[in-house]
Amino acid sequence: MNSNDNHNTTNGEVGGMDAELASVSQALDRLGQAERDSVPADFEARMASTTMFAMSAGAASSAKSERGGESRLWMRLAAAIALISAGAIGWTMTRSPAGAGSGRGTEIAGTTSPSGTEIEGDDSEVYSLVALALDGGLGSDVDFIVSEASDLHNKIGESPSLDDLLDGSTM
Amino acid sequence: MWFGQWKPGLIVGLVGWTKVLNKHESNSASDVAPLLEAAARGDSVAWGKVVGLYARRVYALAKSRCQNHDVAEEITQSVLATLAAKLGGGEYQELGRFESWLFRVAMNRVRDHVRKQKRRPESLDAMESPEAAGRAKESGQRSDEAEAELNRLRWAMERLTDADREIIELRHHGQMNFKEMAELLEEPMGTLLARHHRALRKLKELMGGSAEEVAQRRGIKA
Repeated sequence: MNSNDNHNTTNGEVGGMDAELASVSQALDRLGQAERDSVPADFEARMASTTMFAMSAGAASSAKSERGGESRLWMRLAAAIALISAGAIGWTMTRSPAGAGSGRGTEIAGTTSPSGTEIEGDDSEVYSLVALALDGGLGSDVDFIVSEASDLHNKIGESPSLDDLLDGSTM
Repeated sequence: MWFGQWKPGLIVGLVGWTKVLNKHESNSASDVAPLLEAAARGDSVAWGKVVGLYARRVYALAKSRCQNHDVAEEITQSVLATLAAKLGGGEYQELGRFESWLFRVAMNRVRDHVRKQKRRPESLDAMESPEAAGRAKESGQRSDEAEAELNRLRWAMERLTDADREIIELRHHGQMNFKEMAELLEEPMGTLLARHHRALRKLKELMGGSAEEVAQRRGIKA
């Protein structure tokens, strides 16, 4: 049981050391041995008995972890199926003409169908968004292009060889 | 020419170090693995043998650093409980590095304790310097010469750097061979051999000679 017999000390293992360091090494071996021998006689038995429980606890924890992992997997699968089902139902309801609560389907089927020049509610929102984007993003560019074109027109008008420029006869 | 003169000494040195490296391999992985497997299956006898192989070595390592029996026992118990939990949970896989793994756990526990401990251990203050040990021996207060020698060694070890001290403790208290130490500390074996040699030299300098030499110096001064 005692490991002291299993591990020889470094006595006699100091072939590469000088004698002074070998003596220090041997003294350290004695110190280590003294520390190992300083434990009570029942040390190993006590340690074995008090730590044995951890082995069964570890096994229980491992089994619980495995079970937990399995249940978590099933929960993820169920959640994924529910999510996909909800999405599919929602998509079907919005695309189907006879879907319950679909105002658009009712309008198409009814007599108050809008004329070709009118814009439906959904489409008008899209046009509004495009108009907003043009105003905010491209509006200033359009003004700039218009002013540049106007300047160019003026310059061309002032040129004496306007006709030559237009038909390319100067070549 | 000079190499020819040094060659015999070099060969002797290499042979000596080879002996050093190979000496501490009695608890090889092949010896321990069946015990660990049996213990993992709940064999209390096998677990008792594993504890018997390593408990004192881990204790000595912790005791050397913490200088406290209760703390060392607590750390030993904690390390063995960790091992037991790993075995019971099927987490440990024998890869031939069991001792390195076990002593790494032990070293980490010891380091944690030392880090948490803000003040120096009480026993350190009471530890004797070489001069004090010499005086004690002279006055007959400490009749046990061997115990005085060990106390001087403990005193000197406290003055090593942490890195040097770990090498000494793993080697002489934990009884690890250099191959296992290299795996544990993740350093080349040559580096560890050099550090061990340097640590021995420091200890020798710190101790300043044998107890007799210390006593003799005091006698001359007086």
